[in-house]
Amino acid sequence: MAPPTVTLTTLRGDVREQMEVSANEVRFTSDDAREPSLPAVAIAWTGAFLTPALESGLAGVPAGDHAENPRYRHALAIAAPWAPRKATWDSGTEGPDVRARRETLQRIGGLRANEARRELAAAKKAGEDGDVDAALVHAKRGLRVLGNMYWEPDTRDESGVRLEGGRAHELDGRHAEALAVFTRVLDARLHLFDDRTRG
Amino acid sequence: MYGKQFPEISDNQEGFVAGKTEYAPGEVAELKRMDAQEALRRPKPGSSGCPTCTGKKKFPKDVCDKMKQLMDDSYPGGHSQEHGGTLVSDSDGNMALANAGAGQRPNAGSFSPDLSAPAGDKVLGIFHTHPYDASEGNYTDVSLSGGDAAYMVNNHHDIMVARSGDGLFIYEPTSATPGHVDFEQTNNDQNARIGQLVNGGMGFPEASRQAAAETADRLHLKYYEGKGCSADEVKK
Repeated sequence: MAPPTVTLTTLRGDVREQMEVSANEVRFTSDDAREPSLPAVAIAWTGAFLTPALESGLAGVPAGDHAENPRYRHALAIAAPWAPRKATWDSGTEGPDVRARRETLQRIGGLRANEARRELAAAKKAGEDGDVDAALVHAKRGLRVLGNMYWEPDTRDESGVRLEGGRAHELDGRHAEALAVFTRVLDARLHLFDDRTRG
Repeated sequence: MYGKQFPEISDNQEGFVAGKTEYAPGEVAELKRMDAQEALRRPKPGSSGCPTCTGKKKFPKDVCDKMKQLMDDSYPGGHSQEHGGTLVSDSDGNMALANAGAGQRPNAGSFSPDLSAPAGDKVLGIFHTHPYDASEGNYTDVSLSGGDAAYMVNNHHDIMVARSGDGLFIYEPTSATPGHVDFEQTNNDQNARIGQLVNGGMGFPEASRQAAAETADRLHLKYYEGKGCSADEVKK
């Protein structure tokens, strides 16, 4: 039986974002270029919400690139708000359950990065083809899929401010400038993701 | 579980769950670390808690020249790349800009400061640039971020400085500044406020400045805006 639609609602400032997740689709209802909200209390919620994700399809699917697998996409979207960031696991104290969740989240993170990478490539290609509006759609989708999950205080990353600058360009109809900002932030975040997950 | 409309989530400043009374050993250690930071942050008796606060800030010429050079260096190959360095003070109180360097490439507005200082010198805080190249619309006068404020507060620094074009922006703590703030929340809140102002029709650089001033007010920071080498305190 296909899992029913799940609606994830997060609030970022006064912007409400929703991800509607069904068996075959993850639909973002916010048209905002900002990354999905990833609450600091993520880890505390992981146990409650990741378990159904595991049961609904993540467990047992072989490793590899399964971003197009609907079961993976379903689990991915459910776990999206709980990607590991500030409250990273303490490897010295984690037990088997925690380790399993961490590894699952890391795997989900990899899938998200793969999907974001495809969106970035599509954005660049559309931009090169002169279709700036289509490129913008891809770039914003990539930003939302990847999120800001590897933002770290020590890095002093201010890419969120730059995204606001990109949004301002877009609002004013300067789509080429908006695209330049969005693709560069997405590219940089993917590099940061790779850097943080390498080895 | 499925079909549930998940509630909105809020967290307290320490990043722990509101109302939660039981914590894992690692979380307890984190709470203790935060308590220690809070104790460090409290001003000593007789201290102003803000050793460099005045109504106007003016940087020494050599420091200012270096800041300008780093701003000029922030467009290698025509592409923006944050640059910055560490503001230090020697035993005689002379300010210098040390460890100048560039942020990551590809750049999206990040600079990782090297907080090491020559023996005997004290780290005052961070300087960095906010460049936007031609393809990004040549924004200038983009102010400090919420992350800048949180970085300064949580590292117990005396100052945070950014330059964007000729625009100069400074945060400083006061004795009323909290000892620790939620880094991510502070950054996200300020970004969201910028978005809100932009949605209301304000230009991005101006929105960044207003949001920075509001963050300063909320965290009881001194906030300065200026051009070149000097800046004036912005009071609400």
